[in-house]
Amino acid sequence: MNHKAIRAIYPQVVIVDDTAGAFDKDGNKVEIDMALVDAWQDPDAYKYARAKAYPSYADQFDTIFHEGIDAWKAQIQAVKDRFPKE
Amino acid sequence: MPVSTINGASAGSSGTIITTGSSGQSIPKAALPTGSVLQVVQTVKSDTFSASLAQGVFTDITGLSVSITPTSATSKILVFIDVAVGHSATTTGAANVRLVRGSTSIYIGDASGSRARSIMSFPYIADAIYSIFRYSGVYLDSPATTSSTTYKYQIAGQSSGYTVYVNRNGSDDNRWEDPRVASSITVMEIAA
Repeated sequence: MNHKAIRAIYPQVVIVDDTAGAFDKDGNKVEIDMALVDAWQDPDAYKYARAKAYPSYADQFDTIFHEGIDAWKAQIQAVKDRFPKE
Repeated sequence: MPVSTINGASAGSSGTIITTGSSGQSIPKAALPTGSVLQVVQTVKSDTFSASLAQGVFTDITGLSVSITPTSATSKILVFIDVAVGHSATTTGAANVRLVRGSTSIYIGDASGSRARSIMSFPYIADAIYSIFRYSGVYLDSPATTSSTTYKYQIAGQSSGYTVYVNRNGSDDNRWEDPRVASSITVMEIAA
């Protein structure tokens, strides 16, 4: 189950278990429309994709030291272009 | 029923007896020496769980409890703790897990101000959202009962704005780098 989608669509949900279902803070079960959940698009998806694609800090510093700021900016911009904000 | 005596048995008191039934032989549990493993029970959870509750509010991790009925009130219960925890925060945030017998927290640190009392807290680490941390430990409990006894985990997050996960990380993209894992709770009754 997409727990983040469930929380986004049903903000009263505080507990999600793949088997038991979704529940509010009082322990009441919340019925979930899985079609809505499956159709939900994570607005933060590009952030996660960028974070995984950026070089490590050490590699970025190394690029700045050896090739300069412009080379570093080009490297970072390539990642941003690859995973644009939607 | 035939009864035979183990000559020179080194474990238990002298005159240890093996009873022989129609389906084979067995040694009565009460005749086993101190330290013997009398029974083992395990629960494994392989699906995922998440909670987003106010700071300090612990909730049961659904599907991660185990019940055991000790054969003697003097028996010890050896609990093997094994919980895989993820977190929604990009950098860090607390995710405290505690072990509970019935409704009583056990194997926790002493009370000290506002500090959480738990098995472990989520470590401060960059990109925590992509990580899964396995909380583990071993605790020898003395429940002093012959009634069915339930052991379970409870989890609490940083605040209602954070989500703590079991058996997955916070990112959980549909990719190989974001694994799904399993957690377990195992109890052994030890003769004492």
